[in-house]
Amino acid sequence: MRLLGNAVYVENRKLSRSPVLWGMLVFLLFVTGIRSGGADWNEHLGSMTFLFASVFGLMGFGTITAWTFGREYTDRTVKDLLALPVSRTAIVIAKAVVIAFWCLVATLTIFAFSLLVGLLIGVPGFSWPIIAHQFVGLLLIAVFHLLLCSPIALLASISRGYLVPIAYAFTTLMVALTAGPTALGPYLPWSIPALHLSMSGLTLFPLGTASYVILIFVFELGAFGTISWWKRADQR
Amino acid sequence: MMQEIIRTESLTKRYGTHSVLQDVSLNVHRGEIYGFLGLNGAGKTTTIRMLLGMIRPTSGEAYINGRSVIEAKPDLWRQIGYMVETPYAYPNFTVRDNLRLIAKLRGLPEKSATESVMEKLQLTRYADTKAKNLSLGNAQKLGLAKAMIHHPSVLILDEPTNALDPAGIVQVRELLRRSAKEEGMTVFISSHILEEMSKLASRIGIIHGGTLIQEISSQEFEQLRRKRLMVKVQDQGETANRLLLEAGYRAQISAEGSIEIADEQAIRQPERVAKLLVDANLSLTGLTVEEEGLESYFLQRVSE
Repeated sequence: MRLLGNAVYVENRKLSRSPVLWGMLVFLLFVTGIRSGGADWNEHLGSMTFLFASVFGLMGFGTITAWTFGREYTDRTVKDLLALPVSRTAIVIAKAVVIAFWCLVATLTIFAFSLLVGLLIGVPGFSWPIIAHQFVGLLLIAVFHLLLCSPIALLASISRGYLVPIAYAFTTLMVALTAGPTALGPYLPWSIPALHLSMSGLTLFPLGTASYVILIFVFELGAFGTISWWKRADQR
Repeated sequence: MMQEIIRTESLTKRYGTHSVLQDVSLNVHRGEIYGFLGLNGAGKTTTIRMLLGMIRPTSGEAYINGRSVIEAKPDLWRQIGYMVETPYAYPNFTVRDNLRLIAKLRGLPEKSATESVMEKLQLTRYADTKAKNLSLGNAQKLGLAKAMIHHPSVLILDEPTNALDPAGIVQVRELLRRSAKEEGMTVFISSHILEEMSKLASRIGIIHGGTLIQEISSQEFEQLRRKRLMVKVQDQGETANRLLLEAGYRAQISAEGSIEIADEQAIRQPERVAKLLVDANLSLTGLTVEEEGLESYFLQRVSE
């Protein structure tokens, strides 16, 4: 357990000093800034949450995941992680913990930034219940997208780099945008977060159970695939 | 009986129909420096990756400290240090930071372990240099420092002196020798540089085309390094050879027709041999002291 903690500490040090993380955060803040404003706080924050549900989650979280796993191959440092007292499974878990942590930090930062911008530009109708409702909605969308990141980790490991998983993330974004509005939408993992958001005015989980099960299934597929790959595949 | 630290049993690796390693069985004892010698592509790195559990054998097994590396729990690696192929580090981290990451992953006290290994490998003056700005030689030393930061009892190194300058090579050689002798560290080291292996290893395994073709001890090495006096005479080789045998020299005619004398006395005083032949009215056309190069021995073995 102590070694898992050490692995999390090391992975955190690597990611938190990475220009990719901070560059991505600046980019997301910039896009949030230019898309700010609206008739009321629901519209102002809803527009930011929609950015998460569509682009930020798939591309932003995807890029951070692709980088965290892929850099070990492009920097050729992966071999230093394979024969240590800390297991390879623990290394993968540590990476996942750190990705989740920083993606949530990014989410909270963007939410706080959006609040601040809303106050500065004087968006009318501020109320704490609206803020709380939008905050819970945003956190759910962030969690859904984190679940979709595990196949990216698997692709980064198999392809030994970050280009293929980033291309995959971009492709899933295209698929989500084009096929999301069709009847297939609720069953396509990458369009589920945006569909969930578009219907979330009614209940907390407006889509059918199958949609949420699909997200969990995709996560498990990617997570177990990545762990198995690190444990069993030849590391040449 | 010497304690067996590394053992492989008929280690074989095939990718599809392409065979990379065939039936490699070897063992390395405690405190031994085992040189694993082969040309590029001979199967050295594949063997090393299998020893470290990074590649699964198609058949056969690899053991360290009596434990199978494939099924082993991670604590097996606590006592093992390694460096595979060209060492790399996180380019935007300094030497110190890179070492601290490894120290943390190995559960060591970060500061003391890092400072101590930097001193050991004379890296302290580069402590704050980013890895991407290091020379090849210092990057190699950083790789070695990562391998040795936890004072391992087993060290597995793949071509560790490749990028080092002559001073660096001597420094690493002495460090490994001292660690093996004084701390009983077992070293498995691969190289394609025969001369380097002959200076360092107590035993050498020669691998070629994925097969371990020979194992030689350091004593056998010394024999291979023995010098010989090569004598050439015009036309009357047989007569000269007989004359030298009668004079007590261990002479023999080589395949090229020259006379080879292995006696130390002849090598030290070749003028006596010359006088003996000239006094017998034989026309001496050549008298040279030759050293059977390990290089030529190696090339001869791998071409067989």
